[in-house]
Amino acid sequence: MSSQRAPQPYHSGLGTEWIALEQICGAGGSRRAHRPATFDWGGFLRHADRHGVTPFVANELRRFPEAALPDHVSAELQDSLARNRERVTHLRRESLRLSRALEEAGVTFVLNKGIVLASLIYEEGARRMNDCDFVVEPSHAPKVEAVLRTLGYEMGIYSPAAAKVVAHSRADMIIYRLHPDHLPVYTKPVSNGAEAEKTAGSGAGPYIVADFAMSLTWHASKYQIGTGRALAGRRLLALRGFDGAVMPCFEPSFQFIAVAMHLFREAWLERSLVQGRDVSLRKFLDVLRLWRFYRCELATASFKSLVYELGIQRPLAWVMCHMDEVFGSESVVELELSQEVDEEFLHSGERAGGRGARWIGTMRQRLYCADRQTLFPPFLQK
Amino acid sequence: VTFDRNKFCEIVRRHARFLSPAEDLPTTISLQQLGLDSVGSIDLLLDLEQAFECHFPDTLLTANTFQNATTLELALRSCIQSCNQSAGSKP
Repeated sequence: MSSQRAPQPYHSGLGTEWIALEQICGAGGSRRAHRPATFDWGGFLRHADRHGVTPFVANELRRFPEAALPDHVSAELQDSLARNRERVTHLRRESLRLSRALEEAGVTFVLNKGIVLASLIYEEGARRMNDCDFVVEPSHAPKVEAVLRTLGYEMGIYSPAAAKVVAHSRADMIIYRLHPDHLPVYTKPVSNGAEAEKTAGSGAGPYIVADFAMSLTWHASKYQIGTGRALAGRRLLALRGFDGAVMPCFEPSFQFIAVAMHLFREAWLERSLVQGRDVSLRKFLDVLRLWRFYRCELATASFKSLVYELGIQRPLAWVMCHMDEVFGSESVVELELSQEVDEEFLHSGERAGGRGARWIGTMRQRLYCADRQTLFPPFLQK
Repeated sequence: VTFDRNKFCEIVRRHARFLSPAEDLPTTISLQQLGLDSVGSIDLLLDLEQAFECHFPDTLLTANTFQNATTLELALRSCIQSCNQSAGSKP
């Protein structure tokens, strides 16, 4: 096993627009890529949109008036930021409503991912959000479903064509039941009344999705983290913009583990690739910013000891190694996990039935590539 | 709807990729060993539901159901029985 990987140079083939986007994300706006006269703003915005970081980029570039963005680019970025701010506020309000109902029903839960990260490590509206994410104790799933129905949620997804929530397909329901790491997605239509007025014209859309995870990894994964233990050390975090309101979230170590293992799951499992949920700059940005935010608590012997105790040293090293390669951070060395991964593991994944997958290129190339399946050539798969 | 063992075996065989055409469907060897993966399990279930016109209830959608051909057959039989009962109880 290698002890440390050589830094990966930028690949000229990726283009200045991509490099600029990486630098804005990784450097938090403190460094900016050189922009030649031929800078393709359309390409830059498409990269940002594909990776779910347009509001973040908009927020970062606002701090640099000298960036001299073309008017149409500036307008598009600011519109994205404004719409996302409204969406975040709307989802916060709904998360608060859900949280209160869950507490009353005696459910053990935390809010997770976007809703927490948007208040903790991002400036207002800079973190794109799509839904309300929770982690619950698996045995409390029936109570959660009862709460959701009481609050007007329906099991299914919103269909813009039908303008209503449509039930999950039979195949999807079978997947949910055979892989009980998540509840089936519930969606609440917001098509009339006071709520619709609040969301009209905002970026929120005519529906709200509630996603309840019952695992920090995935069903039948060899990396299992007991939700009981993770939920035992909950903390309360102030919900930005709602005076006095707090939300339960994981304590820092499990917060980082949950976000990093989410990225690992999406990157590792072939089915995420097929469903278009593979790694993105936003997912890496969450891990990077959380690492920087909690570095004093994470780059410690006690956190390292927890990682080994949970048996997640390899997947965590996988995530951190790739993150370091893309953003130039040194997290895997700081946490002394370099020896846990080698090139073979770093280019591995998992196909259906637990069969191994292999991919080619660097993580930077994988992120850049729009057709990820081409990086998994059939002749390399087991 | 009645259980038809030949139809059941024929459907399971289609998804047991490692089972040669000359072999009988083993009743105790795990379906995973016979080549059924997680994606295959979903397709197998959908094929059985379509062929026997029934829906597996959530309580039967577990890994235990897919242990081997016997556990799957038992689950399907119970499912058919429930479907027939509920159809019989409708006015």
